[in-house]
Amino acid sequence: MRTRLDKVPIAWANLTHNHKNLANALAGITFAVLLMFMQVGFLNSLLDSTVQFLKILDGDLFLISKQTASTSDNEEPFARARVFQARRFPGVLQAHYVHLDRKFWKNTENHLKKNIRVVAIDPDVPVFLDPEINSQLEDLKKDDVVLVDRLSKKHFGPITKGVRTEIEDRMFSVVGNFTLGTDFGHSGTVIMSDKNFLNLFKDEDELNAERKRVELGLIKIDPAADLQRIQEDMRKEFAQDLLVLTREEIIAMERYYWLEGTPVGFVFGLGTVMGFIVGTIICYQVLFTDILNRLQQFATIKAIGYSNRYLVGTVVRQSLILAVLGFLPGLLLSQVIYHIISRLLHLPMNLGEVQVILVLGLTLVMSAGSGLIAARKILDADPAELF
Amino acid sequence: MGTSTGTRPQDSKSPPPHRKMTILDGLKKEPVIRVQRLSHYYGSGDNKKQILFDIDLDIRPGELVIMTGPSGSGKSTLLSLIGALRTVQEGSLRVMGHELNQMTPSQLVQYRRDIGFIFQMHNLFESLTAMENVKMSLQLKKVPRTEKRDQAGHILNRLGLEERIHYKPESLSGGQRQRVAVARALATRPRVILADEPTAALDKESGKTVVEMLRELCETNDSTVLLITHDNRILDFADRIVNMVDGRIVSNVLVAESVAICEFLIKSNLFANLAASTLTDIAQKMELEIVSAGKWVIRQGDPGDKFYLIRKGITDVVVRSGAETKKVATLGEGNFFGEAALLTGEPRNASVLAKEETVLYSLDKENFQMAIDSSKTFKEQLLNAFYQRQ
Repeated sequence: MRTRLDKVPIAWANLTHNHKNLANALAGITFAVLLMFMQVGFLNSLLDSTVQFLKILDGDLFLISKQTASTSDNEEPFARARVFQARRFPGVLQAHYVHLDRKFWKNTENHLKKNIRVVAIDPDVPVFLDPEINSQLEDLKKDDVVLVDRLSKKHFGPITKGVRTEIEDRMFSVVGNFTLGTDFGHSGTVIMSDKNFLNLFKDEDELNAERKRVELGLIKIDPAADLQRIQEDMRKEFAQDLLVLTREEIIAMERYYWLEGTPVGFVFGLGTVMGFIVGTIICYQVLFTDILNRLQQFATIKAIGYSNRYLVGTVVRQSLILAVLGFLPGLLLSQVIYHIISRLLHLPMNLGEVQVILVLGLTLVMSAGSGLIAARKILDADPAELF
Repeated sequence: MGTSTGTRPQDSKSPPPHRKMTILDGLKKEPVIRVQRLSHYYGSGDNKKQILFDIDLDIRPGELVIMTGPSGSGKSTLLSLIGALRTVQEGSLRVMGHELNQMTPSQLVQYRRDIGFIFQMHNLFESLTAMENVKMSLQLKKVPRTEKRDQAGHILNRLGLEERIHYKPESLSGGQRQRVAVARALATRPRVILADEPTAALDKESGKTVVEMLRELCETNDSTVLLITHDNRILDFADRIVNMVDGRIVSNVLVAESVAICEFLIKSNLFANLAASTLTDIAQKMELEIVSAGKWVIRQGDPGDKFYLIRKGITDVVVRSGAETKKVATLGEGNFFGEAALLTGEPRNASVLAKEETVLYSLDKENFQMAIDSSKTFKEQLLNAFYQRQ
């Protein structure tokens, strides 16, 4: 029985015939793959980092102001009373609020003040999913104390337990740390009690205003209750000023904001496209040069009865083999670089299946496309010139 | 009526003795390549240049045809048209029963699979081994894997490449590469083989092997070989030599038959003193005729229009005198007749009857007269021979 394995492996033979050319080609494809992984990785990291704070919050429904487009970039306040109102809905187990703000943290080494995210909560209720934070809530009840994200950037100076520094010109003590990570809007995060938070406001009017407003409401629903129905009821009740979102919805909204609402998503998307184009050009150059060098040989097998379709197929097979061979080292290198970036910048650089499939798909399309473009040259191979 | 006898040619210039199918057998068949009023042009508009002019050529199965001619004479263009590598523009080109200018592009691709191409530049795939290069042509024929390997190995062995079958072209000499290209073309035992200088890069021995293989395919497979060459060493293998100049066929000689005719002529008393070139000229102008058993070739009393040489078969010469009809002679291979009426201008003085299927070569009156005029000796000898018989 005749199978494809019986056939002369001409595409593989053409590729591996000249090892130096193959190495150059693979280096090019690997570079393009790396470029795409970096762009996709940074974009994904941006999106992941902006929602990692939301992911550590313990809530089935989230209340935010209608004016809020992003909880990490333009969090708008709403009336705290709305959270208390939410408690009265049947099926609601708990409803708590979170203050989100930015304040100046003083670096104790160089005395420079840097903006840091302040998350203020009622330490009597656990609103976090992170056991490390929850285990330190008791410490937060003390006056002028904070927990600091240990992955905050170095420009904040010392942040370990015991450090004393100023936040908005008020002395605070670090009583513990937790792990969150930075995002594109925040270089660091502190958690404090709402009482300590309000103490940061010296102006009476400002303080009074702040007492009555929050940026985030977290609602826990009885597992036996109908979440969707409660969400609908709350939406009707708070339609004037609030958005009532599930965990998935608020995370999706946050990702959408960064992806579509800011130039950041476009820039990284463009970077991915650039990687794709660079890869296409490299792959095209490699294949085109190979075809050019073998034009007489292609013309010969065309003369003896091979169709243009077979010859174009050969070049496309070459391009797909190049894609796979170039993708694998690109994937490995990307993992190494992701790891390095993640350690240096404390950004969540994760290589997920989606990214791997996306970049592999792009690489295959890139290679097959450039193969098809290069293969047009084969149509010029004129067997009549052989005699 | 005049007759003379000749003997069978057997000297070193004869076609190789191992032939299983004679050219005479082939001449009875339909042409495998029929070229009729074929013209071809390159360029267009003011730059349009005619390369081939009204070419007519019939090549029959089993023939090995060598094409000669100066560079630019159009022989490569003709070869590429027969190979369907170019499109027929004017005239008719019928190969293996296909009218090429009526075929679709995909039919032409299929058609080319039945042709063995040998190019001057071997054009082997540099990335493939000798074996794989040969397999590339077998692959098109859907040959089973083991058979494919065996066939490729066998033909490479025949060409003395058994030690090199897994070498890539870069590790082979020019001659070895050319032999691989020959193997690639011949592996499928194609019905038509088109070759451009197949022996140019080969030493004497290798060149001989290649031509012997081509010859063998002609004889055992009925393959037809059309070969361009400037290599005089292989001219002896040709059945036919076609010479082209400036896009026209200036001579089309059935070499083996021409040699046979010359041998018959020269071994007779009549033509013994003629120069070889004169004999060749006469031979080239003779037309092949096949007469069935029991048919009259000429009849007594008819005007003389041709001179005949018997190539094969037996005839009776019969003279009618009043009511009496008498057989006066039996003629066989190498004998000739019919010259008397041409020389005297009188009607035929005897009839000739084919006793079996008889192959004859005839020379018409005009060419016969030209041959006589071109050689005074020839004329005198003919007249002497004729009058001696009176």
